[in-house]
Formats: sequence, structure tokens, C-alpha cells
Amino acid sequence: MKKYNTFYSVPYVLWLLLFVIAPLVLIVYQSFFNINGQLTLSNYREYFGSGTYLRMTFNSIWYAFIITAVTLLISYPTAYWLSQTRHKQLWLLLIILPTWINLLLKAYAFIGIFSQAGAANHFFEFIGIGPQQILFTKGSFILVAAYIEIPFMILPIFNAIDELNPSLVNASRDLGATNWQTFSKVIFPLTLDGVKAGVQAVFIPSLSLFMLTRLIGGNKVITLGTAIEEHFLVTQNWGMGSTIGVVLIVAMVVIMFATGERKKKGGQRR
Amino acid sequence: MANTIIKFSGVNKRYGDTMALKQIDFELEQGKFYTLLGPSGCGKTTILRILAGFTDASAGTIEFEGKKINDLPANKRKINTVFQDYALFPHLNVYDNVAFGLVLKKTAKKVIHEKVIEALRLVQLSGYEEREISEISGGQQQRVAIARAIVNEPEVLLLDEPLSALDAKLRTAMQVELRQLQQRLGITFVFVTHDQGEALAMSDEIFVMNAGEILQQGAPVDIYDEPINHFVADFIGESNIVKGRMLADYQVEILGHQFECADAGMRVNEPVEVVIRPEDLVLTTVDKAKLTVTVDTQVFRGDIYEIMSHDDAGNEWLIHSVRKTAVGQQVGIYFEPEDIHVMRFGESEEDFDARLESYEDDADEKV
Repeated sequence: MKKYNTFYSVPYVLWLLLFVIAPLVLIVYQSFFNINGQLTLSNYREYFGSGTYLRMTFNSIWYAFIITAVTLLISYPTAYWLSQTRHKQLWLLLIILPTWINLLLKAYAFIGIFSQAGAANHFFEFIGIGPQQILFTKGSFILVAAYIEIPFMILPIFNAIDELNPSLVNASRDLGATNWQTFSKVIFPLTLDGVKAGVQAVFIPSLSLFMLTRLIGGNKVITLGTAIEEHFLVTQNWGMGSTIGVVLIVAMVVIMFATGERKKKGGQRR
Repeated sequence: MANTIIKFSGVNKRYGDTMALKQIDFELEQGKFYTLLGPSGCGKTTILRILAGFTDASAGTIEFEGKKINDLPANKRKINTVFQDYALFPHLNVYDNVAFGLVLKKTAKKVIHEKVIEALRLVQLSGYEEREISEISGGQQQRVAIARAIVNEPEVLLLDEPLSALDAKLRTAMQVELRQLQQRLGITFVFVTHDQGEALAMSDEIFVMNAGEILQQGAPVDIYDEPINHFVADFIGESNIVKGRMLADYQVEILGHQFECADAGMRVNEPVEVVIRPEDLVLTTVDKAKLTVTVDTQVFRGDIYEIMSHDDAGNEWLIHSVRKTAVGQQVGIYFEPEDIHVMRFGESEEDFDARLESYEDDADEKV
């Protein structure tokens, strides 16, 4: 029995070693070398010492926060509505469908829509506002990022709401709760785990978005993702790029723990 | 009725093409224990949901203390429910679950505390305030559900098969406790179950339902002794049902023999069905017998022997006997005239009641 278990774990362990452990070790290792290949802590000193990098970090977190907030605001009501409909699996599929299309393709599609002569500007002209600069603005960046992340927010929330026992809602009404009280005291607290999972799935990837910042945001938004790309591809300062990577990884772990499921211990409250 | 608290008049419920409830009329009196009894899908839970306000009636009126409440939302009704799956809030502990309704009403903290402690004491769960729902047993969860409902001091408490998830022993204990609780609180209980034993043990009055209709309504003893039709007889307790023919008042023919019985008011030679309860059949010798049967199986149940047998015409007879017999043996069975319950085909409850009344008056006059 034991032998078989080890045997089946081979692909997983290989994958883990090659694509998780090895890159992590490499990144951490790289981050201790400066551009001249000397072993040093200067990268970290520079990162935490310079206003540029801290501002970039703040930018990343700020935009990831906005993107998460926007997706959550749209996703919760959507997921709630979806769970009430008949044929909910079909509606859900329609929301998941766009995730099957390559991200780059979708980004280019938005460039087409938002460009000077794009569909969006045609519409603005039609209603008399006149053409606007849409592409390469912070707004368009947030919009496209939210569009891409929404399915990852809706899915966990939908599952949480769908698993909610409907008689709990009836019980709440029965005990005198209004619709709003039922939502705030029963439905939302009981679907919080879904919200947390959604926030994780959206916030963490949003921290290191870089392609959209360039293609849609026109580098108006500089995040840590952009910085990493620049260091690896343009300045060739792999050490600094790795340092930012390490910071990002630490930030992700922190967020994972902060939003992760914590088992409630009995009788802790009050 | 004097203290009518709930009145259903002509209540229908349609789900698409299916009629879940057909023309339901009844009145419930204040302070009584009512049971809606029937097989699954008979509409009993639908009545409960309409009462609680979770679903609307398609037609008809529902009155509460004389006022129509069809359009009153669930949270405005002075009715609370104990759900089949208890529906306790898993994110709240026992205390907060019970306090839920009172907190919504913005009751003072001190009052809430007193009431919650009292409600938990009533269901014998003192000291469990701080427990999480996942930490207590099914039976305890069930009590919390009851406490959570009664703490709001409802006029009517609805119970939707609340004992079905409990093991047999606990269920029997809870039946007694629920009945005592109802009498102590003096409020109306409407209890839904498919378990006839439960219904007979607890209720002041039982409504036997099938296929969206109330077939018979009455005290447990009346329903047991005078079932209106085959379905009720079969559903309430075990019964032997055979075809017969009414020869005259108080004379019925079964299997070619003429018997004296306690029923009257039917046409001469009317085909009827006859019910005899297994516990009313007494084993005797063939020469003293009213009917002779051959024993097929015999099962010892502890308090009684459950004997399956058949007569010459092929009818099966279930006998509950304290005395033992032997498989394959010919035995006689004996019963008294009042053990025979005659049922007419397709008789409505109104006609049934009227007929019973007519000849019971007769009988009284004779005495």
C-alpha cells in the first residue's frame, strides 16, 4: 500500500521541485547579488531605502485593492442573483467562458474597443460627448483588470451562496428578520469564506499585473510587476528584479494567511 | 369554535400543473396540539409553509386571530417554526442562536439574557450557552431549535418533522417532552409528521392528509377507532381490511358469515370495507372461532407475537397475540362486534360525521 502511494506522488513531487521549489530558491538566491555579480544585501537596502520602490509597492497594493473592491462589488450581487435563478449552471458557464480565452487576446480586443476610432468612442460620438481618451488611462486599466478577474471572484462566492442551506434564510425570516437583516446577519457571514477565497484569487494576482499596465494602462500605472519586467528584460538587473519578486512572494504569503480560513474555536467570543 | 386562532378557508396551492393542496378548510383552536399526518408529498409541509409565510396560497384565505394574513410576510407573523433540519445558524453559538429573534426586536440586553436562559432551561439545556452548534448532538440541536422558537413567545409554534432525525429512544423521550412543553406554555402547536405513532401519542387532534386533501380530522382515539376509509385505516396503525356487505343496520357480512357490528346508517346490501385491528383479534380454538385461519409466520416482538395468517378465501390476517401458536396450525380468531369498523366507499368526512351522529343518537335513545 505504502509503495503505491509514493509511486503516484512522483509527478506531483517532480512538479513541485521543478516549478515551485527550484524557482523560489533561484529567486531568493539571485536577490542577494548585485548587478556586478557580488554577494550583497544592497538590493534589499535599495528597495526599502528608495522612495521609488516603496511608491511602486504602494501603487501595486492600491491598484490591486481597487480592482478587488470593484470585482467584489460586482460579483457578490451577481453571484447571489445567479444562485437564485433556474438554469444557474448555464448562466455560470457563460461567466466562466471568457476565462478560456487567452488573456493577451482579450487585452488586444480591448485595445480595439478603447482606441481613438474604437467602438467605445463611436458610441461617445453618437451620444454627443465626442471622442475621449480611454485607452492608456488608469480607468481603462482598472476596468479591464476587473473584467478579467471577475469570474475568479464570482465562482467562490457563487459556490458559498449555493451551498447555503435555504432553510437558514427561512429561519431568519421566521424569527422576524427583514430582508436586509437576513442578509447582514445570516447570508453574508455564512458566505464570508467564499468572499475571502475570491479576494485571494483576485488580489494576489492583481499585485503583479504587468502586461495590462502596459497594453491598457500605457504605463500610466507602474506596479511591481512592471518593475520586475523592466529589471529582467531591459536593465538586466536580475538581482533587483529577484528582490522585488521576493517581496511580492512574501506579500502574497502574508495575504494568504490574513484571508485564509481560520477554524473558529468554540466559545471564543464574548 | 370559541378560541379560533387560525382559520383556513378554501386554500389551494398549485405548483405548475400539480395541485399540492386542494380546497383545504380547517380551524385551529388556541392552546391545542395539532398534528398534520400523512405520507410524504401529501401537502402537510405545504400547509406549514403557508402558515409560516414562506410560500403563498394560490387561492383561499388564511386568518390569524380573525385577521387575514395571506399577504403578511413571515417576519411579521406571531408564528415561529422548528425546522426539520433545525436550521440553526452555524456561525452563532447556542446563546446567540436562541437570542437571534430577540436581538432583532431590539430587546434590552438584560431582558434577552433572562429570556434566553429561561428558554434553555425549559428545553433542559442550561449551561450550554457558550457551545458552538457543531459541538452539540442532534437531540441537543433540536432543543436549541425549539428554544430559539419559543423564546419569541409565539402564539403558534410550527414543528416540521422535528423528531425524524433522532434515534428511536430519544424520539420517544422528546415526544413526551414536547407534549409537556406545549401544555406548560399553553400555546398552539402544529406538528407535521408521517409517523402515525408520534401523531397518536402527542396530539389533541390529528388531521390525516393524503394527496393534498384532509381526509379525516379528529382526536387520536376517534381516528384510530373509526377510520373514514381504507387509506386512513391503513395509515393509522396496522389493520386488517377485508371486503364486506352491509346486510342491515348493525349487521355486516364478511367472507360469507354474518356478524353483528356497531355501525349503521348505510343502504341495505351496500358493499363496504371492514377494518379489524390486529390487537382486537383474539386467538381461540377452532370451535369457538368467528373465523378460522392458518398461521403463516410468527414473529416475537417482545410484548406480543406478530402472527401473519390467511383464511380460506386468501385474505391475510395480522394478529397481535400475547399467546404463542405454531406455524402451519389452524387457529380460530374471535372478535367483539365493536371491534368491527365498517367503512363506506368514497364517503366524505361531513357525511361520515353526520351518519355517525344520526345513529349514535338512536343508540342513546334506546338506552
